[in-house]
Amino acid sequence: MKGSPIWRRMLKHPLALVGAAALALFVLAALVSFVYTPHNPREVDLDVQHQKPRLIDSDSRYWLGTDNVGRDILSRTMAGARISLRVGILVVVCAGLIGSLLGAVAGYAGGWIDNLLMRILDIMMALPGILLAIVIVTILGPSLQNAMIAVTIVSIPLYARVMRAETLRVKSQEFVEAARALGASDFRILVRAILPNCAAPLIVQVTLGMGTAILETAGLSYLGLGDEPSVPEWGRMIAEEFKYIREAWWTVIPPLASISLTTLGFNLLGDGLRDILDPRLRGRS
Amino acid sequence: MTAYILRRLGALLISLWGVSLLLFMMTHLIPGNPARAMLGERANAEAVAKLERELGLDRPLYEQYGRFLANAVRLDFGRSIKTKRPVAQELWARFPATLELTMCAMVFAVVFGLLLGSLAAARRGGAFDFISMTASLAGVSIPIYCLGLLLILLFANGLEWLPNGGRHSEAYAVAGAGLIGSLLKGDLGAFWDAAVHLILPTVTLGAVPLAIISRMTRSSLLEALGQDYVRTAEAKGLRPSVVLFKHALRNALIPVLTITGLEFGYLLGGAVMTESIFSWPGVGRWLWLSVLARDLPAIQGGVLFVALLFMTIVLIMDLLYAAVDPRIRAAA
Repeated sequence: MKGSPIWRRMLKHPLALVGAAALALFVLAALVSFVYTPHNPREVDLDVQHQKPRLIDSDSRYWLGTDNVGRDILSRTMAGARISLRVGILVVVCAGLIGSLLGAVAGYAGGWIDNLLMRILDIMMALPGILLAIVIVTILGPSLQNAMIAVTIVSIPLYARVMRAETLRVKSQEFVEAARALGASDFRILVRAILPNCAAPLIVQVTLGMGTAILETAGLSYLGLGDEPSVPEWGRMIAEEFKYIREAWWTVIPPLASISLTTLGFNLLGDGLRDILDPRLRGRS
Repeated sequence: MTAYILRRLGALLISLWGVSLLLFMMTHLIPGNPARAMLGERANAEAVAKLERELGLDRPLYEQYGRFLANAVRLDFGRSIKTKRPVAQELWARFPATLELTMCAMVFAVVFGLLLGSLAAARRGGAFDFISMTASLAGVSIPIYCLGLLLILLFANGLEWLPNGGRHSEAYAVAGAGLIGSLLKGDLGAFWDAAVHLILPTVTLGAVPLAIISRMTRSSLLEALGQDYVRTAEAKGLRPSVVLFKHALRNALIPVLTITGLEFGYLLGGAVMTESIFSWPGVGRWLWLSVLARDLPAIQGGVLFVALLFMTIVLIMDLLYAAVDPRIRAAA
């Protein structure tokens, strides 16, 4: 096992494989939606409001039915995958970069810099994340972009904490001391010696963080803090159709299942990667 | 122990001050005008200037923060723009409903989390372990609003077994009732009605903490089961259930206690979603409606109130933790 590539070790981890398969479906739907959707996801057609899905009504032209203003739910769900993918990537890249940098600097510098940075992050973590995000979006104004900024800010402490802990572990190792003895600058030690050796837990955090980012942004959209209703965002789709749940229950199922499966996929993959990448957990269930 | 308590209290006050500063800075330093954000982009300059004067936004920043902090210490969060009533009064009126819901969700999560986690550890590697741990991972993954909607679809709209929202039915619409209130009044009909209304919101809000507590219990118990004192207990010929529950579980509970305290924060945040889905008349729903109305004093007051609650709960859990484990006191 030891030394074999990650993908080969993953083949022996069935739950991680299930997660990867769910995510592959999600990414495929997102990519296909760039070039093809059965209908225009934003096109309103009041003549076909709340059409049943083809699974229930074989005469229906719509595979997953239509919403309250006649928009095709399959097309909107596919376009929603594209939006969620973008949200996940952007939030994780931004929060990961800022958080990792803060965590690495805090862990490496130590002393008052570490104390100050960690106390600021502690204060951010003293508030439930979704509440902090709500405050930020309220101030910036409701939009998907601002929801993403809010979720990014809320996620920064998580990456900083993981990175700080790893930096503390790695900086006391002999190869770092060797680099210092050879006269390498602090910046060079941080970038060339410490950061590459902190990758494993960061990869796990990024994987789990993608799911959380999609979940929280959709949550803010559900609360009415995302984009306007025509934008096919999963959280917004659920909020829009919730009031018609008695007569058209099928309208909420596709976005609901999409959010749940995508988050589950990221969590399964993240958990699997943690087992695979952390030698201490290998062999333990 | 007294020194430890004082130190923790000091840390709580510093964190609260930090949260107040963070909230204030976010409201005043992030680009954009809070008064315009509240009134909307189409508001005229005169209305914006009037609201700025009302909220004291035309004063110097240090003066604004000083006043905000002095008022917050007295739990005076100003008046709600929407209802014109004091924010603190609005919060206290809704707090019992939120407390009832979060406490029920926590009891649900702890009881079932401990049970599932212990059984999974006892049957490690078996079908029950696999199913319960996969289900708990699914529990962490399903967004609170998705689970709430699914439960409403199934149990309220489909099977029609449970109500789909509210704290009580029309027939029992008595102010200040709820589970405890109706029990104190000896009104069993109202008590039953309140209990039935609590089921779906409790399951929705408690699902994620349940999943986390069960996973933590399992891993903590597995670690305890590998210790020497467990082997000694087994060698003495004790029954497996006695070894599991009396010896291993008691020692495995310490990390579970910590995570339980932290989960309260999740519950308080999750209450915003759960209360909005189930029209639960608590602080969370009120906060959500304040957000939609861009009622800044209400949002600031509500968030500070929730932060105070969260930190107090974490402090209580920390003190309990120190009381249970003397090593914590010594380390502190």
